[in-house]
Amino acid sequence: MNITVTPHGDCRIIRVEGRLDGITSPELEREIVRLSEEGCRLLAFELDALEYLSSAGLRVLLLAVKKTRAAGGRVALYGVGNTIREVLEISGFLSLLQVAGTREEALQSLAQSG
Amino acid sequence: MLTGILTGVFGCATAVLLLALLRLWQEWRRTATLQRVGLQLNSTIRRDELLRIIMETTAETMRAEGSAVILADEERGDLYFQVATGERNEEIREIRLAKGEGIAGWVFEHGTPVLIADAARDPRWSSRVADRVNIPTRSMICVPVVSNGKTLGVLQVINKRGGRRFSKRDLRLLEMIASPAAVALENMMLYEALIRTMEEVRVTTAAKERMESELKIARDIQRSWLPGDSLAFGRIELHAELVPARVVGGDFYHFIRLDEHRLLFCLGDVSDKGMPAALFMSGLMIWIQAKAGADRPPSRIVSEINAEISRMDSAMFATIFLAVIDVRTGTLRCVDGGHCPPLIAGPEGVRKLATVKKLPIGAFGDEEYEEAEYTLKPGESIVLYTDGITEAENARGEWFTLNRLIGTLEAAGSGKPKDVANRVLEDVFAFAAGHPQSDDIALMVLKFG
Repeated sequence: MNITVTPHGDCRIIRVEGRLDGITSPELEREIVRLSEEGCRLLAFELDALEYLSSAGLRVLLLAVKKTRAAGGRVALYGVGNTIREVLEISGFLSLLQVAGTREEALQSLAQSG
Repeated sequence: MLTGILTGVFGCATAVLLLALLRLWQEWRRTATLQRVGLQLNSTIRRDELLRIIMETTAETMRAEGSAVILADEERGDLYFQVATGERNEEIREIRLAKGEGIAGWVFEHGTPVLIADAARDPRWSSRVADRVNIPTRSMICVPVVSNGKTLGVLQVINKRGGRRFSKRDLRLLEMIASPAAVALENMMLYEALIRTMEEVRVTTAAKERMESELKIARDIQRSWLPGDSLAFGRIELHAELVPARVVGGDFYHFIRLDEHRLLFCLGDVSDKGMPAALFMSGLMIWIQAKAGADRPPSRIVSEINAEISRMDSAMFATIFLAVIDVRTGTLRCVDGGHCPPLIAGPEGVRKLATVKKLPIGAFGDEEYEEAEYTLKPGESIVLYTDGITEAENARGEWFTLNRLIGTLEAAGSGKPKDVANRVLEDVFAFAAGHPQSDDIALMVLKFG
C-alpha cells in the first residue's frame, strides 16, 4: 500500500494505492489521526489505484468519517472502481460517504459542505 | 698417559651419557606432567571447578605462587578473572580489564606469549590487579589460550616459588598446559551455551504454552456463547459452523427461541480478527441475548444493540444479518447491518435475498435500522455466511467468490442443512488447497420444510 497526502486549500487529498487490509490499515489510520490533530476536517480519498478494501480498511474510513464529522467536516471518495464500490455497497458504507466521479466533483462537494 | 686418555674418554662418555639420560628423564617427566594436567583438566566441565583445577594444576606444575585464567567476555568486549589461587586467592573475585590493558590484555590482543622477569618495571603491567590482590609481582609468564584459532583468554603465572625467576623453558611448559586448558575451556563454554539455549527454550516453551492455554480457554469461552450448532424447531431445521482463522475470532452466529413459534437467528462479522474481535463478539452475544424478545421487532433489537455498542472514540464495528422467523409459516423479517447478501437456495436455484442495506452495528449509535420481509417456500433454505468464505484464498491469490458459493449451493441441492454446510466448507477448503485461512468463517443454513 502507498499513501500520498496532497493539500488542496482547506482539503487534503489522500491517494491510497494497493491493498487496504488488516496489515496496511494501521498506517492509514495514523495518517488520519495526524490530519485530524492538525485540524483538517475535509478529506478527499483518491481510490482509483485501490485494489482491495477489507473490513479493517472500512474501519479506517469510518474513523475518518467520525473524526471529520466531530470537527464539522466531511469525507468524499472518487475514482472508486467496481470491486471497491461493491464492498462499500454491501457494508452499507455508501450511505456514509460522498462518492464522486472526479476529483473536481469531490472537492466541490466538500467545499460546499465546508 | 693412556690411563689419563682413557679416563678422559670414559669421563666424557659418561658425561654425555648422563646428560642424555637427564634429557630423557626431563622429557619423560614433562610428558608425564602434561598427561596428568590433561587428565585433570578433562575431569570436569563446570566453570568454577574447571577454573580452580586449571589454576591449581598450573601453579603446581609451574611451581608458581599464583596463577590466573583470564577470559574474554564477548558481550562486554573486555577481559575478566573470576578466581585465582595462591596464598590470597580469596581476595580475587572478579576483576575486569580492557582488551589492551596490562600484560594479560596485551597478550590477549597480540596472541603472543610474554615472559617478564620484572613485572613492576614493564610498561605493559597494569598495577590494578597487583594493587587489589596485594601480591607483589616480581616475575610472570602470560600465554594466550587458543582453541580452533580463537583466543579464549590468557593463562598467567606469577612469581616462581623460592624467589627464582621464570625461564624460557617455563614459558614453553605453560604454553603446553595452555593447549589442553583451551580445549577444556571451550568444552565448558559449549556446555554453558547449551545450558543457556535449553533454558531459553524452556522459558519460551513455558510462555508459549501459557499463552496457548489462555487462548484455548478464550476459545472455550467464546464457544460457550454459541447456542450449539443445530436446531430443529417447528418446520425449520438449521445448522451453523464457525471456523476461526486463529484460535479465537470475530465471526459469530446466534439463534434464540423467542416463543413457541418464533425464532431469532443472526450471523455477523466483527471488523477485526483475533483477541480484540473475540472480546467484541462476546459483548455482542450478551447484547443479542439481552435485547431479544418476543415483543420486539428485529429492527428494534438491532437499533438497541447498536446504540449500546456504538462509542464515539472507537471505530470497531460488526456487520450483522438478524432475522425473526415464524417457524410455522416460513415468513421472516430481517435487518441487514452491512452484511454479505444472504442467499435463498431452493428447487428453483440460488439467488440473493433483497434487504434494506444499513450500516454495520457499532459504527454510529443513531443509525435507524429497517426491515425487509420474505417468506421461505417449503424446501427453500436461507444461507448466511461471512466473507471468510467468499474471500477464501488459494495459493494463486484467487478468491472463492460469491459465484463459486452459489455454484456449490446449486450442486448441493435441497439436502439437509448440515450436509449443505459441510459441502460448502469442503469446497472452500478444497479450493484453498492448504493455503492458510486468513479470515474467520461463519456459515448458517436454515431450511424451511
